[in-house]
Amino acid sequence: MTTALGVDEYRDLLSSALPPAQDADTVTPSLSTLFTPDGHRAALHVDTTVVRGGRGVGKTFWYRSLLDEKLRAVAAEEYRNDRLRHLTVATGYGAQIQPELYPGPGELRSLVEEAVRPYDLWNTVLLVALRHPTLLGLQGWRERVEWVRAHPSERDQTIAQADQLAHAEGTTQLILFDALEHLHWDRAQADRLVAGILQLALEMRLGTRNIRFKVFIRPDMFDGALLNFPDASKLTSNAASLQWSRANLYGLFFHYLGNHDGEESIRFRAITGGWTEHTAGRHQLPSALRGDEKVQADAFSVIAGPYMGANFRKGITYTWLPNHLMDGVEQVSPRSFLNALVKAVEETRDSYAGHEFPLHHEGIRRGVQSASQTRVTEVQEDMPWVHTAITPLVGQQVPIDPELVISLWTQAGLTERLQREAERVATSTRSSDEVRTGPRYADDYRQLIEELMALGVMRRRKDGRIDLPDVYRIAFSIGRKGGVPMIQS
Amino acid sequence: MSLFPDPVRFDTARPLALEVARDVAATGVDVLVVRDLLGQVSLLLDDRDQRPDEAKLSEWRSRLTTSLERYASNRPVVLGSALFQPAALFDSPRVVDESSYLAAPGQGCIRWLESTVVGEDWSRVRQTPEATGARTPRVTLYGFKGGVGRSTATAMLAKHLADRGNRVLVVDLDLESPGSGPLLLSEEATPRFGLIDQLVESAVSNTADLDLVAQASSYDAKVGEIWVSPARGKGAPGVSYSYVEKLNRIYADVPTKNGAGFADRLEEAIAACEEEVTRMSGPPDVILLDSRAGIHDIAAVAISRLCDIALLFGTDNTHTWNGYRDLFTAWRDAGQARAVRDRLRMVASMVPDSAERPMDAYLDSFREHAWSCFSVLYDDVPSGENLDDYPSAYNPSPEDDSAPHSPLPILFTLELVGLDAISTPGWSDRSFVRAAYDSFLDTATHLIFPERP
Repeated sequence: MTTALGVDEYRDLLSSALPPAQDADTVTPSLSTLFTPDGHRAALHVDTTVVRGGRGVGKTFWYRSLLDEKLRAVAAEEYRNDRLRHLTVATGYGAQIQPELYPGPGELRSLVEEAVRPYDLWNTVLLVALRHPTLLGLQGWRERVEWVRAHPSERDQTIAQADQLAHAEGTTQLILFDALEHLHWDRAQADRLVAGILQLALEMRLGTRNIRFKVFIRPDMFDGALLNFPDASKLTSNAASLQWSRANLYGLFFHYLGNHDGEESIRFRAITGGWTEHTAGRHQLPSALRGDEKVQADAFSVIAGPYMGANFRKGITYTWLPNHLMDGVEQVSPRSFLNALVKAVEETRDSYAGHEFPLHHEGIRRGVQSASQTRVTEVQEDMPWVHTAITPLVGQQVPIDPELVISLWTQAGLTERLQREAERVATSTRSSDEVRTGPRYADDYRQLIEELMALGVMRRRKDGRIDLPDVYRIAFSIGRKGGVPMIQS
Repeated sequence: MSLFPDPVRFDTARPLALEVARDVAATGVDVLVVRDLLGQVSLLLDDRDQRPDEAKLSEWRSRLTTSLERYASNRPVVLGSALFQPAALFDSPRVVDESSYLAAPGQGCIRWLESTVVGEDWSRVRQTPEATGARTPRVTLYGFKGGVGRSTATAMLAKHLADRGNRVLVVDLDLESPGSGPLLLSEEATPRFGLIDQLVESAVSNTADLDLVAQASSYDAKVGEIWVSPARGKGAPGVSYSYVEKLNRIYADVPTKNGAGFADRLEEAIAACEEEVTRMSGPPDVILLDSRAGIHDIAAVAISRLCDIALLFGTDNTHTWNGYRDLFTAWRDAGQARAVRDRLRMVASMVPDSAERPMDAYLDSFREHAWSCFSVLYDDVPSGENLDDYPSAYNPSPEDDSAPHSPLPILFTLELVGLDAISTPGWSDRSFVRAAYDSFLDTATHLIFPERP
């Protein structure tokens, strides 16, 4: 006989089990946090070269998980993907500075200035990943690239040998690329560097049996690379996207609640029922709680109440929460989702401690607001230029006529502002953290709107006007047009 | 400035009158803008506290006369003290605040009084309490355009609710072209009188013993019941039933003893149907009002005064949206937006779902257009340093699926054409019918009984 969790015990469980609202880049995936949404199966397929995903959807998470043999085994188990057990994984690029594996930001910049061909550069990175002894002996990437350029047949031979060896051993040599937004501050250069990676990735896929690249990339960067390397479209057909359906988001949430050390987590598993025993370092969700929206909604209404207020007319909590976190391309990042819930617990404890449910709907509202603030902060870190572009619109209301957007940008001299920003980044300290790629079309405002739409920051309404999804609108303090004048309280 | 400016028309008169009204209000005087039946405007000044000076008065008079042209009345500015019964106008229940104007400290207020014949009931929204167990939920089903399957949906909803153990009363308010009455009642089962008789007889205080309701003939009442009040009765044997002559009389504001207008009489009529069901079986758990289409008093009353949920039917086309935009604008201008918007919910009827026209694309477009119409009723949220300054601001995003503009879909299939289908036994349980209606029925039921799990 299990005792139900009390309101306070639920709040304790939520506070302690959910990851603190911080940057996921500092959170290392672990057995207990590894959650495997069905939709990500294709992304982990060894032959899937391009994995697209926006900010905070798990690109870095999977990049790191694939580098870890234990986590790979769990993913192999859960996705019933045996090839994941027979991999040799190396890094081709990532956010960490590992100059022995790939050039750091300073070195990369000077290589670009010296007009080194991206294709040569990535060939060199590939040969290093394949542990080519001569290259490993050379210090500095300039020397390494020069050596590779000077020895084309050595390069071909090394790749062929590695391919044969892997084939004989029944393994695949997988090279991972992540954090490509840190490659170069100048958009055009970044696009060329990415195109070089994709070109080589395609060459491996067509020319070898057992050497594969996996490139985790923001959709807008992938589209940009296509401009420089049209053949990259051959990679589009089997590209995967890291998307999170509503059921995935709640599945992740329940996964956290059931995989915390502590009495409450044990009882939560008992209440919901059907969890696996502790195998491979975690308890697995019952399939209904993982994917059945009806079951999920029932379990969630125990925690947050069924409605966003007095009754059904105020909205169903289960659908309201993800619905209000959607960006312009109708995606919700799991990070925003969990952040909103963490904040909702805090708010409920502070202001509605006596509420009958562990989470109060006003707490959830505040949680959504706070998550959108976090989202904007993240975007600002990732792409400072987005903030620069939105700033001239502050004081306006959406939906807004694109012509008005363009004239506001013109008045604000946005092109010059963006260029100044790019120069500042270009001359700043030489750490990869500082490298942020700017927009592709700083001087073409119509294209800039398209770019912001691709990022999900803006969306176009059917009447042609430009809208901001609430998740950005609220944090940027931009109003929404309506017919009824407001009186300030 | 063109050489020959357009003459002032009905629509341009309003902002012009408002300009002068603002100047009057700026001097601290309360202004009532009165538009008569022809649309001609007078400004009525409340001079109970202070008398405006003569120079100003004559200035305002001449400005109104010049700027409003044909739409200035022959007494463009009137002082309350000069009227025989100023309170009859100043305190009329029909007075509404000007929605675009907020009086600063020291300024007077600006209010409107419209003298109208048809359509004024749109602008008087009765506050309804949130449906609780204490009050029988009343649901109005309305479509700006006819022929969108509203009556069929009313009948389907009645069955759905009755199957869940409710005693349902369906009132056919579509007096010009009765719909759900004939749909739910066979000729034999139709009561002798209809709603139209109640409206006629009540004017001469002759409503005792009118039988107005009957149980739906094709419904097998196992767990719940469907009661129907048709618009048209069966009539008495051997006497011709003069439907048209009755219809011609019911909209008149007949001089009854208590001075009740049409809206009050309609409300009484529905109460009479409700009482009769209560007497014959028990109190209804829910009342469905099948309202007629168009901008008409019956629809106006049904939405503004009689219900706590109004399901607005539409198909995705320009004239539907123009119609709804006109309605919403009238509510907004009458200061009723906040009161009315909470009870509205859009229904997308006859939704196509084929390879050429997939349902999702159709609904996306529908939602977008609905949202653009509903924006008229939503709060105008200004940009600010801090949106917390407007904690109660309500302006849901187009994608918000719990918002009034978010459509409940009813799919279109050819088998649904032909109104008599619904009385075929088992018809509503057929799988294609279920597929078409399930989502609508489920959400509508939740909206009607929001407290039930």
